[in-house]
Amino acid sequence: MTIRSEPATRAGGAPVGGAPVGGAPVGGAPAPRPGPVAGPSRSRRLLRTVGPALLVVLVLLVAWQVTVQLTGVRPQILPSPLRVAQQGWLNRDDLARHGLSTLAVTLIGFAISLVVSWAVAMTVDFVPWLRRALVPLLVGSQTLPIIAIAPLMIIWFGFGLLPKVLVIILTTFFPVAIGLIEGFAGADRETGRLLASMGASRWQQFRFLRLPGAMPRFFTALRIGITYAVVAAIFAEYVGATSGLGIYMSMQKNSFRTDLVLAAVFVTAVLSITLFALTYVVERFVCPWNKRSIDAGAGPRDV
Amino acid sequence: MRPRRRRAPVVAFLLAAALAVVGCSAAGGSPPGSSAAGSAAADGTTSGERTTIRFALDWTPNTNHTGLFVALQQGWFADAGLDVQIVPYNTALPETIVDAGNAEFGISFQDSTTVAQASGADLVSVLAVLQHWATAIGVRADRADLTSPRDLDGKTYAGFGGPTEEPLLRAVIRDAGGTGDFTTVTLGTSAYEALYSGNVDFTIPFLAWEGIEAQHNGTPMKYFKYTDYGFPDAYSIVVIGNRGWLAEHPDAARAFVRTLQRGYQFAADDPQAAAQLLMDANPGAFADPSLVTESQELLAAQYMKDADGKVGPQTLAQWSGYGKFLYDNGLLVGPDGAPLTAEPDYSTLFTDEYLSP
Amino acid sequence: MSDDYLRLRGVSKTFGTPNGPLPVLDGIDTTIGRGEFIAVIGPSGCGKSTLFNVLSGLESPSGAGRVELTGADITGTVGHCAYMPQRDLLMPWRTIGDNTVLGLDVQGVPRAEGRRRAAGLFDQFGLSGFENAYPAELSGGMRQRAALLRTVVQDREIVALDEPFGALDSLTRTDLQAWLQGVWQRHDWTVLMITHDIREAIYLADRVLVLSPRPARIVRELAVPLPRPRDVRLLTAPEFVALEAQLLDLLHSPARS
Repeated sequence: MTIRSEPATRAGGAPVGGAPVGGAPVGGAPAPRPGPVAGPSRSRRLLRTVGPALLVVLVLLVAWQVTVQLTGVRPQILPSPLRVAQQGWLNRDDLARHGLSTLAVTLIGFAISLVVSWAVAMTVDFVPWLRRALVPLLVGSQTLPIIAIAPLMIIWFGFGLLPKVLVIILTTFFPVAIGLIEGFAGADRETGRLLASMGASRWQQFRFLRLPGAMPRFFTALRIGITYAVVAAIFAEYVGATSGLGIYMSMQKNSFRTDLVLAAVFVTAVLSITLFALTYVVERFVCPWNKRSIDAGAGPRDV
Repeated sequence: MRPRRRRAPVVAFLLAAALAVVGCSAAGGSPPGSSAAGSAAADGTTSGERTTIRFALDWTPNTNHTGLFVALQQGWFADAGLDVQIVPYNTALPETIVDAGNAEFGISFQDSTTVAQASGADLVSVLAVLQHWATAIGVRADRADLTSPRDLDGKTYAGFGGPTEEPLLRAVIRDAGGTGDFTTVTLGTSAYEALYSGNVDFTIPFLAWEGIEAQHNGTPMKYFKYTDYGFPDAYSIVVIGNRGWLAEHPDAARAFVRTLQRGYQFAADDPQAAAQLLMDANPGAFADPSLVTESQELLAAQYMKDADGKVGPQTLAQWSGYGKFLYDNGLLVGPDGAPLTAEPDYSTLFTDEYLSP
Repeated sequence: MSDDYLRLRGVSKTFGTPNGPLPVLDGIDTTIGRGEFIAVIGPSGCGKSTLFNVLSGLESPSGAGRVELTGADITGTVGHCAYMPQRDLLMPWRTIGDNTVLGLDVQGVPRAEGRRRAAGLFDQFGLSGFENAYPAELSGGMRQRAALLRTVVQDREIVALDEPFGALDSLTRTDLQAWLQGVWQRHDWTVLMITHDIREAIYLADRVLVLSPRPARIVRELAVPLPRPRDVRLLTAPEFVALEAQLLDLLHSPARS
């Protein structure tokens, strides 16, 4: 197979339709330029991804409902899923109000946590000896018992937004910071040398290589952090709040409304899952070079 | 399609596992009256010579619990053939724990018991530890701007997440001439620190505990007592029992409640000795021994004894008075989640039948 | 063509290792003219890549060795040499278009200008239409060409290629060798190319530098006076075969010191 790439010849025009041009697959090269994606449709792929999980949840819910009906246990002890759903729906205004409050605190706190993570990770990347000083602190921050520290926060910081943000930072910043630090450090060394041979400064090395190279690890770490974030916001309400799902759950527990406590737990789960799913959306936007492999169907490409 | 056929056994397994899990947890909270004799000793049946009794606390040990610790330290429970185990304070309410059958008795309050029973809990108050309100609205004594509950309008309240706090506060404030509009921040255990440090304006302290503690800390409080503003009196601290268990173990129930009453009577008659026993039973729990002693003396002098000098008895009048307030304010919610439409029978809330005559 | 454009004077390099000093280059001395195509060939591990590192300024020679460009001392300074490493090192997160302007980005050239400069070469490099594709979508041969485009668009005085076709299958390699000769002839590049392929060396180069095993010195500078443009059929011509025999002899004879 010859490459039609002699200087005198044009190497084929507008090949977007998939016609192999200079470099068509030689026994095992990647698929030609993508046109309309052949294979399962978007919705069927979505079903395939979430279907099994939904099935398991459904089975558990049915088992739960059946068990409650068979044993006749009181709703204050164990409400049935239908009871939880019904009461949750009746009290949806309260749940929505408190849910939004928790969500707002979550987003603000997590955003600031991200800023802190990036700042720490970039500092460690530019000043390597700081890594030995800071990483043990990072690990230590993960182990602080929030329940014990929260009351102290009130004494030190009052009960405005600041102590809540601090609680969220303490809970969520570690995985992101470590993911970034290792992502930056994992930059391909040879590419780093190539950049050096081009005359790149330390900052350019960071901008062109270390930062973009760390994006996949960052998003993995982001997903880990964000699953903690909503729960962290609820912990943060222990530090003092006027509203929020943690407050709501506490009030309902004190009123012996186990069904509403579980409804609030459900809302918490929905919030967490939504935020988690959102990270995939953001990742596709920020890392479009992975998009084509995602579109081609979950799973390894048959190259 | 091969994957689909493999799913059926997986689903069946998951269903079985789920049933097993849910079944176990439901069985843990067995409905009242069904505690089988064949179950383990943990549910209060006789094992060997002594009956095991689990007692749930509402807070970390304090002078509201003295009678219990006195009886323990003096070995009175053991003499009565009872093995009393204390379920320490966690965020689960004693009412829930006792109702679920994970404790036989526990500390409660008149409003919690009333609300819990309305929602279907199978509880009954068997002993009144304190005959009157021992809490009050507390503000820092140096707040010259707060001289009456009506001054609390627009201020910040540090609350505990209880359903009856705000209506009570509102009623008192309105009786004093205010509108009852204030902001609530739910702080739980941190409420008192927030008050001492000035981050909130008022909270609800126990006069005989946080009140004295505040004095010792140098941030004394001043109080607005509910009954000064037309509010019905109530039993601040009661001991609740699980009705089903009581019905099945009348002898053990009587033995326990009488011994407990004996402990509290001792505390009311000899507060200093009782305080010492409380501290002996909980080494390291009290950094300030004088707080414990002063607290016990205050309780003994003003709160524990009824008109005849006895600790423990209860009256329908007092249960009804506050009960009516709760009912009128829609705070009594039935098992189906809707507020009660008919006033409950307050006599079912308490009993003196297990006390010493 | 034989003016003193690039000079390597007595370039030696010794590395300090835990097992003691490791001499890699031993007095490399040579002159390269502007626009020449030089092939560097030698046994594995003899220090060819180290030589390129010194040439491009990433490393400094030990001792008094120097690299001079048109008489000026450029020892240890980067920026004169456009370096193409063995792996294409195309950044997966950049499109081909953005990858090819990487060197210009580093130089501070505005993106639009950089794209304009690269655009002119896309055609010759057989990459037209792939400006917005990602490296993962291209074949090995195309990626190497993209890497070469990235190298030459920087417009440096010297182009250093480190086994540019080593990872490709032999059919693609042959095609790319022919193509490289073509684009080199169109432009005015001074090229040093490391290769382990004798035929490739003779086919492409004006001169072949033969290195000894480590520590490397230049054992022989073999001129390749074959006329250009060189056709693939030249590979079997007697002059070619003779040169090949000389190189084989040099590289595989036991009497190398």
